[in-house]
Amino acid sequence: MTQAQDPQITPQTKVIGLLAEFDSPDALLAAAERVRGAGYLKTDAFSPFPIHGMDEAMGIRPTGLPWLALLVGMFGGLAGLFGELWANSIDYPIMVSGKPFFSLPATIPVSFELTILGAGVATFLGMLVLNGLPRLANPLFRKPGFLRATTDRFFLMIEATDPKFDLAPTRSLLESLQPLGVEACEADTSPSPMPKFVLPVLVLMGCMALIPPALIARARVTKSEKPRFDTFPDMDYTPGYKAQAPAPTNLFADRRASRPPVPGTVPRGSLQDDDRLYRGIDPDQQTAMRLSSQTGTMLTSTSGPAEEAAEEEEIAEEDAPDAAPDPTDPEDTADAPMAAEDDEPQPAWVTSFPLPVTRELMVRGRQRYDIYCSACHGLGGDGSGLVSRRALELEQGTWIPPLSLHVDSVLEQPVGQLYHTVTHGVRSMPGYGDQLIVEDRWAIVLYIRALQRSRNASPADVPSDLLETLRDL
Amino acid sequence: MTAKPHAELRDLYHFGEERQRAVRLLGAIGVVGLLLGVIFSLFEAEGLRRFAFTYLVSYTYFLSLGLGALCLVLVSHLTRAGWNVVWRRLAEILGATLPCWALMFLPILGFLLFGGGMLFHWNDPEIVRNDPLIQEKVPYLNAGFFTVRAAIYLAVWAWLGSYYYRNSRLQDRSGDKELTLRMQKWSGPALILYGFTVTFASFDWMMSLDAHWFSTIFGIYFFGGAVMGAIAALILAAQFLQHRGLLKESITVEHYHDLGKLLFGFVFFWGYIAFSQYMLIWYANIPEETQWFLVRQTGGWLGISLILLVGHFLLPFAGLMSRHVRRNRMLLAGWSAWLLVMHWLDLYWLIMPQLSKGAGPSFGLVDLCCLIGLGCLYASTVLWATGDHALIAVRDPRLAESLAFKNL
Ligand code: HEC
Repeated sequence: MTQAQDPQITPQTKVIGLLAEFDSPDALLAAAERVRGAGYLKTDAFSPFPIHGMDEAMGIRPTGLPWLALLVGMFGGLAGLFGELWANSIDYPIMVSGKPFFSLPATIPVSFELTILGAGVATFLGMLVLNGLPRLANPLFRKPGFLRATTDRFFLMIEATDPKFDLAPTRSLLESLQPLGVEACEADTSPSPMPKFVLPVLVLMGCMALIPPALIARARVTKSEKPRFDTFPDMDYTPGYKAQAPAPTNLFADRRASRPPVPGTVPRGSLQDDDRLYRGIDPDQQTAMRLSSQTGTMLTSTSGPAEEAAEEEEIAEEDAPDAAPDPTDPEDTADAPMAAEDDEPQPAWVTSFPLPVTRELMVRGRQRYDIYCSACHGLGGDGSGLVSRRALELEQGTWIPPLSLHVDSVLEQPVGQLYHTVTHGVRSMPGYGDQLIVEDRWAIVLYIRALQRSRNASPADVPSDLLETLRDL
Repeated sequence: MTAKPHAELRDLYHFGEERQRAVRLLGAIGVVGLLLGVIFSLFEAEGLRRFAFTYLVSYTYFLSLGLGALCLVLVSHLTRAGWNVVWRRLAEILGATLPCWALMFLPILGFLLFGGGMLFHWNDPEIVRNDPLIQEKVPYLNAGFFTVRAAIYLAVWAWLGSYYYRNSRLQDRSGDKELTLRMQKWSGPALILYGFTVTFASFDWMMSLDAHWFSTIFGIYFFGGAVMGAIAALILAAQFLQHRGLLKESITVEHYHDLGKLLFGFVFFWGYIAFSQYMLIWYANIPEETQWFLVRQTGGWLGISLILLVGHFLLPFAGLMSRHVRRNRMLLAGWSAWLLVMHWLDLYWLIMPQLSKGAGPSFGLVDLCCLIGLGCLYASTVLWATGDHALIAVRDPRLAESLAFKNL
């Protein structure tokens, strides 16, 4: 290609720049450096592949794209975090495998992916926008030789908008760089109608894009008799079996769906080895009592049973406390003085609280008492609860009125025994062990103690700053 | 091509006389350090056991630098990379330490064969007898098979490391492009071998310290840290050489920039793998698996875990993100040194908690002597492997490309 082939520059056509053609990337690089050195700023280079060092040669300033990617990436990450926080722990908290509602490790994969997504999309779109893309037509494409920019030729363009641009001097500068040729590039004045099919296709695509939202909108307002479509049948119908229901034999040989604990294991939190807390019994006292009762046995029984046998009997007796005392059993005769009031021997109840006594515990106790006990025992504990009063009004004769909690027999009871009563009930009173957790049962016992003391309190028991308010009454 | 081998190189690229003296001096310090470590360990509560563990930490640390460098060499052949020819020789030299480092495995083998369960508790017949879980693993975890496997790993690495170094040096003399083609051809199979051996070696030497625990991602975790460490070591080595007036013009800020990108990438890769390992175990919450992390989350080890999270991942991730940092020699060197320390801490965190359950982290004279001892020995082997050969692949067909390399 030589200069002779340059198209005529007619007065009608407007020159938008000069295009120099080179045959190697090195020549292009050198040319770009020279042109920049000559003070031109609005230049553009075209090559079939990226050339290392080109940005610098052309004086292209570093792009702000990384900042955009960082910002949008961080936004994506925070959106992921917040989305999980909102969905899993605020809007619809669901317990997943015993983890806290918001636990960081679980949210990281989503946040991580959204960070990448945000940064990636921002980079891609930002690149397009900053480059002024997509650009459907470029006057350069009308130059037949220019197409070789995608295979084996390298072009440098100086734009006419450059303040230093002046046709003749600029052309001679470019020519001094030993190009294969220099061409002027004119603005594209030819009418360039959009192909006819573009508009209808765009409209059609726009319409089709409306179909899914329209279907969703319709589904949201219409009712249907048919069962819904199962996208994930195995999630809609889980293979879990109901408790106590039979399971197929291929699952478990004994067909029990609720599995018993593995022999020799204790479920977490079910060991309950602290007798004082869980049963209200003092283990040390208990063994002491047991030993003294055993020595008693030894004295009375001449045959002198082996220690193990005595132990076993003891356990058997504890297991079945309701069994009627057997007068022939030397054990019972030995225990007789201890079980003077009741038919059965009393265990060694704890006399102090096995957990810290705090204001919170007391408040909790009052609340639980009002819920669970006051219906029968009354808010003050004298047995005047609504249920009881109503039952007495009906005069059916079957109602056993609840005991006042202020009678001597209850006042004398150690806290362990009260705890036992709350847990298992006593005589005609039902137990509340199934409804109340251990701490709440102790809280109630603590509140009963407070109720009892309130009947026998002296002014010294009241904090001095509250005494005034009492006197007003 | 006309025979102008060093046409573009206007650099000094040979070590001077002082190299040989350094080899001997460092070797001597190394041996003394190790001996002192053994002696000091006799006064410690855990005795020789402490030395065995700390030796394993330092050994795998320096081993990992060689392994990471070997991986970089293999990958650059696999991808026919041109930009990195200027520093590939340095990586080849680190990889060429692997034959020597195979010999340094002997003490560990000694602890195994003569120390019973001193290092690997699965090798204690008393423990195995009472431990049904380990009994199941005995077909794999036994001293004999362990030794055979270790011999295979070490032989593979030693062979790969010296193969690539040897051929590259041959090219220095002949300029034969066939050598490049041959090295490229074998890089694929070599990487497969590399992947298997590194994975199983990390299983054997580090994971089996707690024979109950298992994590299939463990191998790649070790690998990620190793490559990161190797890149950091290469950056420091290049700067060290340039500081001494060698390779001054060959390695430019453009190469450092790309090394920095790799370093940044592997910092994140390590974090990604570490988190993947942690999250799966955390989520499944199976005691068999969580106990390994439990030890590292209680007492002083929690501190080390947090330091790793921040220092091995979050800080360098943020710190290396900007290209200005990666193009600044001082900052890049600073981060490289920091990450080398973190990489050591990572291995320490993998291995040491197994020394005595429940005891917190401790670093005493024994550890210091062992680290310095093996470190000096390692430096000595590096300098020895360097020999009087060129520090750059002078007639690599892609050298010109690499010298002219520029980031966009
Ligand atoms: C359904 C009504 C009812 C409720 C509710 C109830 N009780 Fe009772 N309670 C009784 C009756 C009835 C008795 C007397 C039982 C008897 O003497 O046969 C009694 C007796 C008692 C005694 C005396 C036991 C003894 O050894 O003499 C205590 C203490 C007691 N209840 C505490 C509680 C506590 C604490 C609660 C709340 C957790 C509670 N009760 C809830 C009906 C109830």
